[in-house]
Amino acid sequence: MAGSGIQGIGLRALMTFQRALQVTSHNIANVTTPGYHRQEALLTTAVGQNIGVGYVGGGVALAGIRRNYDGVLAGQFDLTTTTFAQQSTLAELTAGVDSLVGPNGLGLDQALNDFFASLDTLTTDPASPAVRGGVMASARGLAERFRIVDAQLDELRNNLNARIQDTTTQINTLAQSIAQLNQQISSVAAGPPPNDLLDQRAALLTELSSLVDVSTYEDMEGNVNVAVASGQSLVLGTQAASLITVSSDYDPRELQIAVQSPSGGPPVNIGGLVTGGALGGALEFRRSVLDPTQNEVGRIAAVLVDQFNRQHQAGVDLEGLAGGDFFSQLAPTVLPAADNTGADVTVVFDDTSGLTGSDYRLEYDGSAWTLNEVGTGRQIAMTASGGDLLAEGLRITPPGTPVAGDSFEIRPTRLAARGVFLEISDANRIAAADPAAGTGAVGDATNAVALAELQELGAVGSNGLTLSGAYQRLVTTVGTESAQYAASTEIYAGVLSDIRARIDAASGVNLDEEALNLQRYQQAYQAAAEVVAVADSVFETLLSATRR
Amino acid sequence: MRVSTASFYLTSLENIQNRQSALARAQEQLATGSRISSGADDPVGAGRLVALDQRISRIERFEVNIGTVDSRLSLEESVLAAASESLNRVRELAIQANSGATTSEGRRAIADEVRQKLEELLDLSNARDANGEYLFAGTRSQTKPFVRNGNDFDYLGNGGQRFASVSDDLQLAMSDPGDRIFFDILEGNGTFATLATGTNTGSGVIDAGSVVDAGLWVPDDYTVTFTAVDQYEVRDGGGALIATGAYQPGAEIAFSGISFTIEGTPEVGDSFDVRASREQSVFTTLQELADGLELAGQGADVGNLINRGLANVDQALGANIAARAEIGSRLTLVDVYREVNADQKLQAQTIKSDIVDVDYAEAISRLEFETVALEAAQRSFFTIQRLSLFDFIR
Repeated sequence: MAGSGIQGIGLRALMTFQRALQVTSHNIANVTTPGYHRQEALLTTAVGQNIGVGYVGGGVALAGIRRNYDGVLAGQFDLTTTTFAQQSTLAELTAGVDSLVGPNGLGLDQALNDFFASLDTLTTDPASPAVRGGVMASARGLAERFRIVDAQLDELRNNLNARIQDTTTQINTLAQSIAQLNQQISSVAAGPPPNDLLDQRAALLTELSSLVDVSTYEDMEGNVNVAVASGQSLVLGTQAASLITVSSDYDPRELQIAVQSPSGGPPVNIGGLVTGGALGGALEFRRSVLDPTQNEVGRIAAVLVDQFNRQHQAGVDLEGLAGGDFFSQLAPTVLPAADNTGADVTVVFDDTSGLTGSDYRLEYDGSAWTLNEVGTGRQIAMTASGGDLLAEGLRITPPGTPVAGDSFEIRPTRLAARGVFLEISDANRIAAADPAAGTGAVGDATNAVALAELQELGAVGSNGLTLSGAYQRLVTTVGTESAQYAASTEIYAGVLSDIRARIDAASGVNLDEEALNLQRYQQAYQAAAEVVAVADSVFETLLSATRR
Repeated sequence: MRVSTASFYLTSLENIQNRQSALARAQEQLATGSRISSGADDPVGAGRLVALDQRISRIERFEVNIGTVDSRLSLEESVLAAASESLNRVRELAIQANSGATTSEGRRAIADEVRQKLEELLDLSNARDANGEYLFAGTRSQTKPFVRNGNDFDYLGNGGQRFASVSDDLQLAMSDPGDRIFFDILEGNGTFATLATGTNTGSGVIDAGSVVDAGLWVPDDYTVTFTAVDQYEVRDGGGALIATGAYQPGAEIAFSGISFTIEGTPEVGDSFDVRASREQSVFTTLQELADGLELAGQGADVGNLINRGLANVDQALGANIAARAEIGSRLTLVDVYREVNADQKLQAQTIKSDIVDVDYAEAISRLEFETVALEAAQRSFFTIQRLSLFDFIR
């Protein structure tokens, strides 16, 4: 009810304080709501009336309801959240790998020790069926252990893919919700700011920041536009794009991220550009921890199988027959690009000591083949050898008529560990003897000695590491990364905590403060009610004075 | 600075969670006794554990091998000692047979005992270890090495040896091929052997002889023939005359850096072979001796037989002693390296313990500290959160 005068002032005051109480109650009710920014009723004096000799005030009016929101701090918080989520995802996933290869892990190094120990018993008793049986058993145990480690790493990969899928689904849901809020907020852009809708949208943006690295921009209509990675639009005004997972060109199981625009058109692959949030952490984990670890375990397997088979072939078994392959031969994985039209290349191991644990891209441009290292993009020189190409321990045989533009991804050792099987099944076939010992020399153990000594052979990589030396380096590398990510997560948690404290200082609800406000506005309401009563009695007095 | 209610709860929760996880960690370390439960706890240490575990495993293998080598070489040693006893008995018997007091019946009895010793020796040389492998067959260890072949003996093993790693840089032979010990034994004095020709009619007895100047010796089959009762000539394998001289019983006859003596009275036309030593198995030596004793008449035949037999038996004893000396030196190394390995293993285990073992005193006091800290965090939260203005607005 408008109007000047005591009654008007009183009534307006009543309504104003009622609103203020409402705001205070809203704050109290939302004390636990995450992302809620404390609201304040802004009181101002109502315009006064000029009565000639001065201005008589018109009481109190509600100027607005202010939301205590600091955009700069909020932006800092979201940015830090992105990094924190990335680091904590990396820490969690890397700890998973650490638990497989580390001290309390699957014990691949122990299986290697047991295998070479059994070979040693062969050197002192090469003809004994029991000893030979022991060698077969521990060889099978070793092969199985390699396969188990690989299977567990593969399981991590499956979980990672599921995590990537889930995260993109969550991102899409958030993008939709943000777009809807944009719609609601921009439709009332002319009026006062819709505080609670703004809070909701800010909370969604923070959640989105924890999933993927984004940049935001608020336009003139009150929409918050969101771009992911290097600038692909995720939310534009009231429209939301969606992220989808696509297979890489070479490997259907390797998921990459693409942006599907709401207006149609082909999805845009942003694979390597997502670096932050849980999604970026997951992709980084795959690139810098999971793939290299699986490659390294495979490299150890490939060198073991190759060196062992070579030495085994140099010996003779219990019947004097030349030893063949002890382990089944391994071969590199070759993945043709999905749009290749020509025949495939074949790749075999040429010199396993030249393997580096990296993956490669091989491309034909119409006249020459080029080989690049995946990840660094470094070009690798190849030497020709009788129609084949040699590089990094591999022998690459191109097809007779290659097609320009065809490309292949070569993963020399990614799947090696899952292919470790025994080629022989009869213990009598173990070639423990040297052929020079002559016929019937079942007591000769010269080749068994050489086989046992392979444990000390430095045949892994250009640094000449032993098998367990390479494994030691893997354990230390993974352990160091795990520790670093854990430490980094803690640091960012601390920074986040700090920023949150500062945000809360301005925007958080303090129940004691609101209790005081309740008291304050309640008293003010009571006083204003008195004013109304007084106005009423003044009016009554006037009425009774003029009654006849 | 304002503190919002929500942030107070959040901070308290974080504190309590941090204290809880520190407490859990201290508890885990105490329960497992290990400082390192994952690579992240000590990446370099975890890596070194891999290397140390391998080293310890390797040394333990050396220890097992040393045990195997020790027992096998000890077995060889005791078999060879028994063989040596048999040979020494044959030696005694040979001397006995040569004494004038022994009759031809006595010699036949001696021949029987020599044959017994031959069987013993054959058995010993074919000895087997606990796994059933023949000790002295080289690397053809499942083939019986020494067998009869008519009147002869064959070696069916080979010259291979089996080696076991007892340390990083040392491999010890754990077997010795029988050919060197029992079969390929040089006859006579090791350089040359002397034999009386079977058709001699005189009573000349030739001894085993010795080398005076090895540089002058030219290996060949020489023949010493008596052209007269007191005259001898020495011709080489091609018939060339090397030396002549007057014969005196017991006097030294020397040529080409060697010398020997002949006793008794040779007849004209009697001859003796002085030939470069060939290889002869100890079994053949004993067989020769036994056969000869059964057939021999008296005097010179027995003398020549015994001289030759004794010389050959001495050579066999020499081969036996040489083998046992070799084995003995290896057994010494076994003892040395047993100590070395024990030291190295202790060293590796100590280093490993330094890396991985929990310092119990430190861990227990840390557990106490974390317990107190957690309690403090919990109490302080409880105390502060009870304070609310609403309690006073009634």
